[in-house]
This record gives sequence, structure tokens and C-alpha cells, in this order.
Amino acid sequence: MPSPKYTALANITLGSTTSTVTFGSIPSTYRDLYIVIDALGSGGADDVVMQINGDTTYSNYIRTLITGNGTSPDWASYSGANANTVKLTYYGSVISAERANIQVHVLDYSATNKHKTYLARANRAGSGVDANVSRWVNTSAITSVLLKPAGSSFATGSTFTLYGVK
Amino acid sequence: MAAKELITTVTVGAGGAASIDFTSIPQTYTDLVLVLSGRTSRPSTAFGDTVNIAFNGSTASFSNRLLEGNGSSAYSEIGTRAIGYLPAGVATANTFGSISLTIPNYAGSANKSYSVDSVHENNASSGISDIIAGLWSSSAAITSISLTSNTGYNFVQHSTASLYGFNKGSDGVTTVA
Repeated sequence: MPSPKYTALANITLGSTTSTVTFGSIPSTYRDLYIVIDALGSGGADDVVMQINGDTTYSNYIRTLITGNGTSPDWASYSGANANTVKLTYYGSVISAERANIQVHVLDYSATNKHKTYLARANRAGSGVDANVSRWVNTSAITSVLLKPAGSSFATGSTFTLYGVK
Repeated sequence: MAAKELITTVTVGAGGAASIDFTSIPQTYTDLVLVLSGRTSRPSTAFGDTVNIAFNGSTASFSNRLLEGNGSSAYSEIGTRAIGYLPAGVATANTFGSISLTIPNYAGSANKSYSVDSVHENNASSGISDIIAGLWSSSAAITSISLTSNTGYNFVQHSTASLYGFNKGSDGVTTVA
């Protein structure tokens, strides 16, 4: 069986403090998407938000996570009109003092017969480690992904890379 | 240039190996991904063995936070260089654990934040799964990676580790701003 093939679609390294990063016009020719984020925040610890196709309605997302902060394990699940449904991080948040990295796998993103499930691993050694599973309750193909800290900005030097996987 | 390329694979031969090393890592990729299938020779009284990582021959300036589950309980701890737990000793024969390590911007001048997923299974009688957030607080580009057993034992024959490079790029269609 052949190995999955990755194709680089887009990337950006921030040259200044930036509130949002959006991958747009994503072609529907791949099976999955893979996003790599290596980032600093602009201030205190802040969760990273991901919105799909401009959908800002919290109840259109469902999220479950496990997390550890070096002292205690924890878990959470969010649905409905809850701002936490659109987040990718818990302890693996971004902050100005330390780099964090997040990998997101969006499965079958171009399908039009299923909701979109995505897996996110968020990591910040000075805070904690998260594993998320989320679902966008929509059968539309994903054509854009917006990433932003919930209440602050990404700092200069943060990098964002998008790959298509077949 | 392909988005994902195999840089090299290390396979442990007869007699085992005290370390698994990747040296002279090309500086031309964006991110590195290391995948390991391994087991150590820690004696028969032990269930498993922790694997430690070093960059550029340095064991300093590492920090991590770990979340672990074993099927009946979970815990979280603060550590330094651990990247996972492999079968050893009394673990079921022919059973190897798996570790996947991702290092974004390994060749850059910022500190290196990395991500680890590790699983250790023992024929359904026990098992351990870890996720780890790591940081190497160094501005040096990573040119070598060394993996060792925390207890000083060897990786056994048939342990393998592959290092992949990911290349960022653009397809000319997708936008980013």
C-alpha cells in the first residue's frame, strides 16, 4: 500500500503581530489537511481558535479533549453556545514568553457527505499538553481555515504551514 | 522538492545498540518528524523503559510536560528529556512500542518546541500511552538527534527509527494572510 503523499499548499511566517491567519481557497483535490503551527502569543496565555469556512457559530462545533499540566490530568467536552467549542488548546496555549506548537489533522475535509472531524495536538512545555477531537457539524467541503488567539494576537516569528494529504 | 521526504532510517542489528543517532541532519527542511519502533534490553524484572532525547550532543535545557494513561488511571508530570516508554524485560516477546516526535522549525534560531506521541502495549495485559509537550531552550539549529534508554540499556535488534523532513511551500492556489 502506498504511503500518504503530502503536498505543501501554503505557509506564512509572521513579520509583525497578527490577530488572525487564514488559509483560503483551499482546493478540494486532497483527502486530508495537515496544519503545523509554531507560535508565540502577544501577551498572556491565550487559547488558539480555529474557524472553518467563516463559520463563527459556536454551536456548529463540538469538542472533546484530554490534557495534562504536569500535575494533574484533566478532560473536558464542549457543545452548544460555548466559546470553547472552537478552540484547539487548553494548557497548550500560546504566550509571549514561550513557543508552543500545534498540529491539526482534518480528515476528509473535501467530502460533501459527512461532518468534518479534526484532531489537534497542542504542546507548550511550560504549561501542558492537550489532545483534542473536534467536529464541524457541516457537510460542506472545507475551503478556508482561520486561526487566531481567542483574545490576543500571534507574535512576530510565528509560523503556520498547510499541507494537503492524499 | 517533495513536501515529505525520508532522510534516513536506522535499524538496530544483532547485539543491540546503546543509542540511535541521527547526525549531519540537513538544514534544508522546515520541520522534522522522527518515528521509532523500539524495545530495550532492560532486564526481565522490568516492564518497560523510558527513552531520552538529546540534541546536538546536549542534554541540557530540556523541559517537558507529560500526560499518561494506562487503561485504569491517568497522571501528568513535569520532566526533561523523556520522549516515551518502550517495552522491555517482562513485556510480551516480539512486542515493540511506537514513538512519533515532531519538531517544527528545527533549523531556526528560536527555541525548539516539540510534540511527542508514544504507545507501549503488552498483549492487552497492560499498556501505556503518553503525549508529551517538549521544549529545547536553545537557539541552535538541530544538526543531530540521539535517543538512549534512561536506564542505560540497549535498544534491541529490529528496533528501527526513521527521520523525515517536511518542506513548506505553496501550490499557487491556496492563499494565506
